Amino acid sequence: MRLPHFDLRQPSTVEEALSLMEEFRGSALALAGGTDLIPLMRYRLEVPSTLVSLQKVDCLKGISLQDGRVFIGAMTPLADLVSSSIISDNFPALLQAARAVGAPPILNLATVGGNICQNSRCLYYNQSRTWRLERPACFKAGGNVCHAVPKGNKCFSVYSGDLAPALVALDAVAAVEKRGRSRSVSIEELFSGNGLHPIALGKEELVTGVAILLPEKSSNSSYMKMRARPSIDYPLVSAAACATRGGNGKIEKIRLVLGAVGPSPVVVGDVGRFFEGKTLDEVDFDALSEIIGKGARMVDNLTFPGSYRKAMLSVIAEKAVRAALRPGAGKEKQ
Amino acid sequence: MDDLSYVGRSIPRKDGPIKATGRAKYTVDVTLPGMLVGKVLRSPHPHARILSIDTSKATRLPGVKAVVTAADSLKIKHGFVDTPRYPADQYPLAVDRVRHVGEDIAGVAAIDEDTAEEALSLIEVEYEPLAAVFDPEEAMRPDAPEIHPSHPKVNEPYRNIGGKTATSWGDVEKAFAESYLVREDKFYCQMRAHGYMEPQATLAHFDYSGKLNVWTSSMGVFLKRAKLAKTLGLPYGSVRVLKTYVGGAFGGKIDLFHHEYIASLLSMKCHLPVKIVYSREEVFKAARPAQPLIVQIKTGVAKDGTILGQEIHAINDSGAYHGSGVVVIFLAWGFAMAPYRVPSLKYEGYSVYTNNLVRAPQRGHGAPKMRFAAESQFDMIAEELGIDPVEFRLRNVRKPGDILPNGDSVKNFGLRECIERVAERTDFKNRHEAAKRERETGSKVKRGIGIGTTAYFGGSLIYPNSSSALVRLNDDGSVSLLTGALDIGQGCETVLCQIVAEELGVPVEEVQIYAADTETTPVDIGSWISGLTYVTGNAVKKAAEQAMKKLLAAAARELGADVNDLVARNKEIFVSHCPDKTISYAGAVAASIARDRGDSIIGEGHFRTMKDEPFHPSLASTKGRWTENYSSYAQVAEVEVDTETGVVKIAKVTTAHDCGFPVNPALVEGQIDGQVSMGQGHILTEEIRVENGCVINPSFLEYKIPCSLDMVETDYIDVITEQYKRGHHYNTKEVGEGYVSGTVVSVANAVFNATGVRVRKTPIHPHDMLAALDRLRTPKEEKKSGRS
Ligand SMILES: Cc1cc2nc3c(=O)[nH]c(=O)nc-3n(C[C@H](O)[C@H](O)[C@H](O)COP(=O)(O)OP(=O)(O)OC[C@H]3O[C@@H](n4cnc5c(N)ncnc54)[C@H](O)[C@@H]3O)c2cc1C
Ligand code: SF4
Repeated sequence: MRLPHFDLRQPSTVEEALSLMEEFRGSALALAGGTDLIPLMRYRLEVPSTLVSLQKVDCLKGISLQDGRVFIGAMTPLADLVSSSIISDNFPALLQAARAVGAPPILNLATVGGNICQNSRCLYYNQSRTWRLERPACFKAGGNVCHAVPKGNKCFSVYSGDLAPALVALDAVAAVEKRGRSRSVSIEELFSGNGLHPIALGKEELVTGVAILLPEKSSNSSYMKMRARPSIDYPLVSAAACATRGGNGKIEKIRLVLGAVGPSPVVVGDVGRFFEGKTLDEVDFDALSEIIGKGARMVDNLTFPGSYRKAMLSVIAEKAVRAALRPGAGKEKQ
Repeated sequence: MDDLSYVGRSIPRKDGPIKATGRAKYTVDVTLPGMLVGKVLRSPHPHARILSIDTSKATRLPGVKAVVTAADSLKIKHGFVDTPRYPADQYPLAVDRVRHVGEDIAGVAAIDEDTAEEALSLIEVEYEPLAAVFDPEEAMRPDAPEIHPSHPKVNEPYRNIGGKTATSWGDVEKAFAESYLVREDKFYCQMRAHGYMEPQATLAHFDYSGKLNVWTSSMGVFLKRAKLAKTLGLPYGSVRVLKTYVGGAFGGKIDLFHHEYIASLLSMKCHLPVKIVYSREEVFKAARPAQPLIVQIKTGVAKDGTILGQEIHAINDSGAYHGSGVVVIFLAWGFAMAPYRVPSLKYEGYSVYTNNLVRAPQRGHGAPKMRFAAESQFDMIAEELGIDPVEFRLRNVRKPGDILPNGDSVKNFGLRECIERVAERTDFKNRHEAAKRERETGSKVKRGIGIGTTAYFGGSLIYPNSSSALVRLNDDGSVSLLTGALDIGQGCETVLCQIVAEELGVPVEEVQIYAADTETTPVDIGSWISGLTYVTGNAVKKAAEQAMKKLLAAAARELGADVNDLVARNKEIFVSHCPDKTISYAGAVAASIARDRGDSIIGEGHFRTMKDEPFHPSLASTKGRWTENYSSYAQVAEVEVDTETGVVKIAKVTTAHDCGFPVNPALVEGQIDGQVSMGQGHILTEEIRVENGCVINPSFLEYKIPCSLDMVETDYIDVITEQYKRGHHYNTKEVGEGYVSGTVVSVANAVFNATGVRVRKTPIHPHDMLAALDRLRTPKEEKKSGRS
């Protein structure tokens, strides 16, 4: 399958990149590692007339630690994340999430920014143009039906990024810039909740990096992912947990986030009552499972049925919580 | 053991370096000046009448050089089987009706891909959609939409029957009446892809001399020539099919594929080279998947587990045309009767048309499905009788020398030993018992062990039935081998060169091989039917022997010695009792040319199996022999089942096998690993998902084939191979297909051992597994067996 025609721009500074994004507002897309975007272009799901490649913007690459805060440039390859001791020492969830993306060759190309900003997925959408032309266009492709839920009136595509749930659990913040203006947005707020356009960024905006506060000593995090093949697949469901314990060893607070549930990562709200002031053994996971994924509408548009994926949410969430609270946990080495 | 230098050794592959460095030329890499891009227009409907096709706009598009539809063709049908009972049933370009999504309507050749794509969009086809049916059991109902009339010789009131195989022996009813236990079970399997890495690709050039030259990714060039010549109405002399490197086939590239025909027809129309390369999506949508099979099996046993009788009913969904459907229902019978004694059997297999894709054979061609059914049931019976699965198999396994109902002898069949050795190596009995006990404990991850077995044929009679080879000594003493065999990735060129090197005493690196060109190389049986090393290998051996004989005769004369006193080694011939009397191969060749009026040294060899068997076996009645060498395997799988997620993981597969003599042990182990991986995909993850006849997961991301990182640990035990090392090193048996079955079955049985869940349908989806585990926890009365 050939790529559609496009102009390639290769700025070397952030300013240049931002001006190009503004100049071609709406018809340009940022190109990072291309592992998400290029397949979409081959399928004609994206046909930007200009690609603004960030490959040569060197200052967007790298991981640094300053003033109790870790900053990860948007163009940092996932392979670098996986081999970074700053990440493995402080953010096991992020390390595990990065490691679980695709397969090793993908990690070499894929970037942090691209991973966060990837589009949501659906078995009936991520198909070639020829394939899609054999049936009416669905909502996400600009039409007005849904093939996954024939009577549905919205899009149920699934955001399948691995990093975002971990970053949300870690309370990470994205640096978002457009020409002449920058803002900080929590990763959670980067998501629109709308399957048609899951990423809440302006057309001229770029994510330049992600900042995460160093964790407290007594806290630990973990990411668990379920996929069809351990070698390569996108998540079918995933969960990230970040837990802090008090001096007495009891759980002080926990943040639990689900991935591959719907168009955005989902923070499981109101979990304090299940955990706070308790030891791991005292946690009532059965009760917790009652609220996990409640209200999530998971449909048959990925490898396994929505009902099964939904049932797996609490299983995978429990695994993530247990791993984050594992005695002696806190550091994860390669 | 014989003193062997090349045969029996793990010689590195001849094509290894060129492939590993990316320089091997596959069909997609072959280019010719002026070459055009060909594309195919396909039906979006599973079943429709074609009312009209208008190609005028496409033809007028600048850059388009040729457009073809059925109107340009001779409308000659072809088929995987083309016999009086099962005549060819498929047009290479749809004439007035399409019967599956993806059926070929038209072809275009244009100067580039974009133009070709645009031209396709300009072809206007008017369809009248017809009712379609996708489930074979539904398609058999008298009120189902008719895809083709049922076969005239099938008397049952079923619709859409493409073919039937029926056979029986013994008195099955009596056997069931006398049985202590009779079980009847039904097993289903998914539709699978072959998963070859290189997609289908063809370059055709009809030149001005009137010759059609075809480079195509295939499994054998002679069959392609025969089918292209027939459908294009050309004499063999006008069709040349040439070798390219092939990136895997697994059964999925036999037979004529329509892009081969279409590229040829386009080139005949415009006299320019036309290349068609499938996208992966087209491979899923328009090339052929494997044969699914539903197997209903009823087995009666005595109290001690001896099988008394079996009744088997198999239903094949052949898709829109015969494909290999009428073959798989015949083979399925063979895979049922070969490994174990079945004193009475009634077998019926139906091949049923549906509006699904046409199918091709896939590695094992029915065996994984038949063995899955038979041996899952073996374990169910063994469990009910309280017999260990290994004991059950040993009680029923065929003995060396057993004569099968079709007249075949299993000869020195090693299955008993395979079962014993694999059970011993894996401590099967203890672990099987232990797992059963542990099933009831609280652990969330259950472990189990299971066994599966197979027997497999090799080198059976199918077009072109035999292989020939030529071995030529060059005047520098080096050797050239000419063979029609096509290396599809299994390493046959390496193996054939090893045989020449062994027989002629030349270093294997110095054997040049010229392969797979219908014009210049002798005929070859092809890379299917698991016979290449056996059939072609023995033809090559004979050719090398004959060349050696001529060489020695020339040397004897030159040295004034008796031929029987000569020893040849490393391109030198010397007299055994007087080693300084020597002559080089080059010298002997020169002597032959000088003395024998110019005779250079060429040896020829020919080989076919079952020399006294004039006929192919009957697909309808199963009469006729199958093979003269049955391989056998027993495999044990160890699995882990996560009872919270339903996910099954294979920890290890151990294989004990009787494959005759392994000419290249590393290649044999490669075959085993490849098949374990294929079996893993079959039982756990792979499935072509179809909605209304349309494949919804036509990519390697969504079709879940195991990747290298998913590969399970493997272990091998060579069984009777040792006996072959003494003087029988060309008695090879099949190694390319059978092991898939044992893997599938052993995993299914191990899952039962771990959890108590009986797998009746492949693949084992985690959601199905969870549901089954839930049902176990809330048991309900379910008994299908009856005890007398
Ligand atoms: C076989 C396969 C398996 C995969 N498996 C996984 C998986 O398991 N988990 C997973 O999470 N992903 C997976 N992916 C998707 C993809 O590889 C990753 O998400 C990857 O991290 C994307 O990064 P990239 O740099 O390649 O992004 P690109 O493809 O370059 O970009 C992705 C999107 O983000 C936008 N973008 C990129 N950078 C920025 C920026 N700085 N600011 C604003 N927008 C930006 C682009 O315009 C584009 O729309 C898989 C992909 C493939 C091909
Ligand atoms: S969920 Fe429905 S609308 Fe959304 S991408 Fe899938 S088919 Fe299209």
